[in-house]
Amino acid sequence: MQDITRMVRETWHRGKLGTRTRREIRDFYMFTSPWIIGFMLLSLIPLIIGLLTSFTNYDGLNISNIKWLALRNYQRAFESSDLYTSLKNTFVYTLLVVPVGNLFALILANMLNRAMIGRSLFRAIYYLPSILPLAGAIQAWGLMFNMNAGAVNAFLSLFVPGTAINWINEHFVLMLVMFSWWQLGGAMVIYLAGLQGVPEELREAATMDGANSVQVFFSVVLPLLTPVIFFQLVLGIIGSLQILDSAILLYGRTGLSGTTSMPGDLYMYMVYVYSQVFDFQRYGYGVALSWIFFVIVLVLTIILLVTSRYWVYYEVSQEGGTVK
Amino acid sequence: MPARKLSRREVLKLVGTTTVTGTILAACGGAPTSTQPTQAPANTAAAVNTTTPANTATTAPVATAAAAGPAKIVLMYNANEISDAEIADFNKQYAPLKLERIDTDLVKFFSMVAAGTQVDGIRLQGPNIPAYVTKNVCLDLTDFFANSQELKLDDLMPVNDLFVYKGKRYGMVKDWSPDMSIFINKKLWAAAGVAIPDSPTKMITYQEWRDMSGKLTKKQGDQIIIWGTDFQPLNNFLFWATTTWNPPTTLFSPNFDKLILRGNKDTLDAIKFFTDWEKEKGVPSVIAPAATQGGWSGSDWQAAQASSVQYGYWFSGMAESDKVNGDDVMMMAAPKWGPNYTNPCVSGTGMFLNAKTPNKDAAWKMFQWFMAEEPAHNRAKSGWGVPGLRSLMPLMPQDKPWRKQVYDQVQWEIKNTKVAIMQFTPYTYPDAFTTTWSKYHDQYIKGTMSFDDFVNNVEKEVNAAIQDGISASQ
Repeated sequence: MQDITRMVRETWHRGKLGTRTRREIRDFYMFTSPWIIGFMLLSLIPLIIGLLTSFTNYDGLNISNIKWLALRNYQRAFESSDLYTSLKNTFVYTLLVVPVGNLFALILANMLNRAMIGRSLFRAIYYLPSILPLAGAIQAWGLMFNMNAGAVNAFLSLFVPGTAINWINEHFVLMLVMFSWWQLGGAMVIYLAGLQGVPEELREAATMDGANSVQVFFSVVLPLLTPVIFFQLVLGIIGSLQILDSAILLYGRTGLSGTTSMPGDLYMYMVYVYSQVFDFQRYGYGVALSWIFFVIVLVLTIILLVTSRYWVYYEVSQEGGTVK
Repeated sequence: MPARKLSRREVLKLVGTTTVTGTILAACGGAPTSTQPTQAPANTAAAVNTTTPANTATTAPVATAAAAGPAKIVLMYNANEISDAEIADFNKQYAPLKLERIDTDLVKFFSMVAAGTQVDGIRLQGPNIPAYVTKNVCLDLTDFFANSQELKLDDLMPVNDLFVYKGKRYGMVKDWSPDMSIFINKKLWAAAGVAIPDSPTKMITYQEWRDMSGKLTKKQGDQIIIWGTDFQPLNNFLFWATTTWNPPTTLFSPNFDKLILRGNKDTLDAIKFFTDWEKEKGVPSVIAPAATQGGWSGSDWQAAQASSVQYGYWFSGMAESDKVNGDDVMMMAAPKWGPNYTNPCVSGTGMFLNAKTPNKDAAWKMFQWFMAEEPAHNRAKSGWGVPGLRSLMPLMPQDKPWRKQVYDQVQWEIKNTKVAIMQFTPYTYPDAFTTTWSKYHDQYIKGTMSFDDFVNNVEKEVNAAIQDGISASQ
């Protein structure tokens, strides 16, 4: 890409383009145009429309008498206690899910990277939950942890008869966190791929130098895995902050048309956005909330990217060439 | 003139332009809505834009409605409420009309209306009608009903007034239910040693019912093994309204611009009564959930773990199960609140026609067929709801003794009570109410919020939604 643009710039300044150069430029734009057109039509234009919508009182059907509210939707959002409650819940959830989930996934991957009987079977078993359809899996999860009819309390009742822990309603965030851990097979597979990319000769060299297995892991394997950890952290944080469907489905929906049925003190951020858009038909306000969230996620991602230079180790320089 | 050969560059330009233009048109335009080209006669209805909620879609009398239009009719309804076989029969009987069904999704409906995509009949619960009429999406069917030979006004059950707003009729129920009627499992009642009230000749009060269901509840430690009953106050805003139902009441100010809870003592007393019932774990709630989280006790009933459920007639469709014998099933009248007996229909699911339907006659034919012909007959026979037409009443199942008892009880309800209808505000949706209710109700039940804060917050947030709705409609 850089070469092409440099070539275009240089030949442009020279004042004439050769036939081959023109053909290369034409080919470049022909090959990239589907993506560019798709990006403009499906991403850029909707983003702009979305941004404009956030300054209006659009409710889905009032296009003919829509009102320009300027920054009032944003002001309303920052004045709403629901925004802060839902952000707090979402960050708590993310802080519990991402680091601990990644740690579990890494430990599992490390265990299943060793030669052992039934290794493939265990890999499949741990991976399986992550490919189950969410709606079905969360229903099963809810049934298992139901207070009066759930399998978990029934099991506990074998030891303490009549055990009735109200798992979902009293420990809602914990239930969501545990559900996400149950599905860490996807992360495990990626760590497994990362582990298998660690050159065996490096481990052997460290062992011959007298390093024990813990030292090999922390001094050889872990540094080489940091790009994978970084990738997992970025995706994990973005994914966890956007938690919506599992929260709504686990708590249950009710009302005439299946509205969000959740106490306000348990709202996750996207649940709050969802309820405003779909239960209240406040499209303008909901989009404003989404833009606020976009900025928060963007800032977090930038922080992660900036700090990554201090702890992520690349064998190949990011500017090209090898690391000195 | 000899044809000029296009250069390679011109061919590329042509292909590129065609592709890009085609893509843009496909993305921006609505999906093709008919198999025949037509002008949209209903556009006049859509163009009506007024601050007065009642001035919505213009009426299109049958005689003057556009006779020609697309042959396709799109019905937004649930798959389990209209079968493929019924649709095939319609297409055969009313050829060349062609009925297509899509799943109910009201957000999708809004998008379809905004994009100009054809959708003709839409599933909706009655309390939503005022808000939908205000959004100019409902076709005024007053004259269609007045001229119909199949849907005669004197044949409509009173509950169909849920679809009347400011004197105009916008639809009707597909079926309905006196929603506070109680189904009891006689076997579990006998096991608990609780005598069945001689319903309906002896009416019980809600306090008696609460005491009775407490005796029916069976616990093991902290676990509830058998529920006494399930009553779901969450959705029952209509019930709160009807607690002061003589004279007819509403939860709203006279011009519907405010929800009034704090100033409505009788309603507050009712809310307090039922939330106290939840707090003592007499009915499922957030502190003692039913088997279906956030939902209802249907699966508890079917597993013979609920002595009663207060769900109304429609529940007869699933009252029998592997563990619940029909002979043990009985329906009782609703308990009595206050001086007057009320048994409201809370939701009243039915259908309205889109104001922008391109062929009103065809859409109305489909509407009549759905409400009075084969699908209506099948629904009446199924036992999942009381028909919206008096003439279909004899089709209700009476083949088994328990079904006959349920049928007789419904007839008693119809004869001796007036179905309570509450007009919901036209400026917001019932969903806004139930979402707000859930948001604070569960915190109150869990003890993290006071009763005053709970009620104040619900009132404040619903009123904010009403103000948004007023602003959006002006």
